[in-house]
Amino acid sequence: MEKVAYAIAESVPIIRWALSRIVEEQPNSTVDKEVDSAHRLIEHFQKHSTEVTIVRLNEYMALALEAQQQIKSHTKLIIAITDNDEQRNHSPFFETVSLLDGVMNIQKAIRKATCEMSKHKESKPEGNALSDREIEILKDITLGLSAKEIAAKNYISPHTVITHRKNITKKLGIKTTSGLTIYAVLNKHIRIEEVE
Amino acid sequence: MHVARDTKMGDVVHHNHTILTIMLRFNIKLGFSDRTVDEVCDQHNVNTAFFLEIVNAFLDPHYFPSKHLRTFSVSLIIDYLLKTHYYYLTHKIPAIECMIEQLIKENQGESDLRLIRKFFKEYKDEFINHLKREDEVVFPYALKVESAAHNNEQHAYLVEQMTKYSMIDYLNEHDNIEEKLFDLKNILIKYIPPISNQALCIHIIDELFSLEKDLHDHSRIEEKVLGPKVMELEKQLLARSETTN
Ligand SMILES: [Fe+2]
Ligand SMILES: [Fe+2]
Repeated sequence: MEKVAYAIAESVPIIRWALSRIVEEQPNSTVDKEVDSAHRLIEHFQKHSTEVTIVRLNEYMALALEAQQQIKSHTKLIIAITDNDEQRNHSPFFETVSLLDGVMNIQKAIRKATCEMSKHKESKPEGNALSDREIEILKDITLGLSAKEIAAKNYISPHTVITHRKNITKKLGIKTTSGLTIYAVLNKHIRIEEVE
Repeated sequence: MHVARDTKMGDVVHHNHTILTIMLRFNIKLGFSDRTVDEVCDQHNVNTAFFLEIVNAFLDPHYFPSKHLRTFSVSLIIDYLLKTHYYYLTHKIPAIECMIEQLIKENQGESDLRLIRKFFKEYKDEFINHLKREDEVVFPYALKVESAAHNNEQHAYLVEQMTKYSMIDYLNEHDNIEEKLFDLKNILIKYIPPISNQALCIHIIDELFSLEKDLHDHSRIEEKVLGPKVMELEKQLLARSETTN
């Protein structure tokens, strides 16, 4: 499985170095980007995104709302670091840990974040993943619609529907409609109640 | 390994024990001592030459003596096909069904797995219909053709029947009952949620692979041996009816 990518924004070099090492030591976790301030982070996020971001709480809070928004939209989880015991559980953060807590807590927060991200990763089929269009067609097939009906519903020709179906079968290795239905349910494209 | 008349039956089993399922169909019982294939077949009233061809075709996917197999009588071939049907219905299908039930029972939390049971039930119905049609329509017809051809019987009614249904129709309608099996295998291998009893899943997959191989061999006999052989007899009957008319 692909590792979960982290961005670290921390101005104190020794702390940044330590955080980076701790991330790399956790299973399925890797550091994608290290920057020395929250501002640099925003620059980075103009072109890139990262799954988890570790940032100092006070630096983050000092940013303009717009800038905060920009960070939030380019990362899925934020771990905030504080240098005292008081500021805890601010809502935009996945975890808040204090530098006074010791290494264990930071390790734990990182593992928790990686675990959370991996869940999303696993739910997506790898390699031969179906396109969004194919998933729509797959749903229609499992609901028992004919090629003609599917074509009309999706504004495409019946011929295109048949091509999609062939591609779906090829990608999944499943030929029959009932087989495709099981796939669609197991992968949460449709609910079991819709097909029972 | 190519099995011959004087090969020891025990050696055949040691070479590939899945051959035992073939012996079961011929009603050959275990306890071979040091007897050869010929001796064991004799003892159980099995046609050794026919047994050898079936066993060798089973062991080597590239060995399929369809011409040679056609030298055996229709009734002998059908007898084996019927026994194979019986073996599927009494052993293969119930074994898989039972394991799927266990899979559902052990994973009550994974309610989506119920669909696998439904899927297999559908497959079983299709499968039974397929066998039933062969047992009740196709094979009796083939036997009638053979008996008419051999006994020089009055066969006007058969020739009449041939215009409505003959072996060529069977070969055209004969569908591939392996497709759903293929899907089920792939669902278990690629898409099943990570349940704890992996051994059970592996057992099911194992059974599916073995049924698939068996069905492949079985259909091959129906299509490449029985079909052409009966069509040959049909031709003889037609020719004869033309000369008498
Ligand atoms: Fe059959
Ligand atoms: Fe068949």
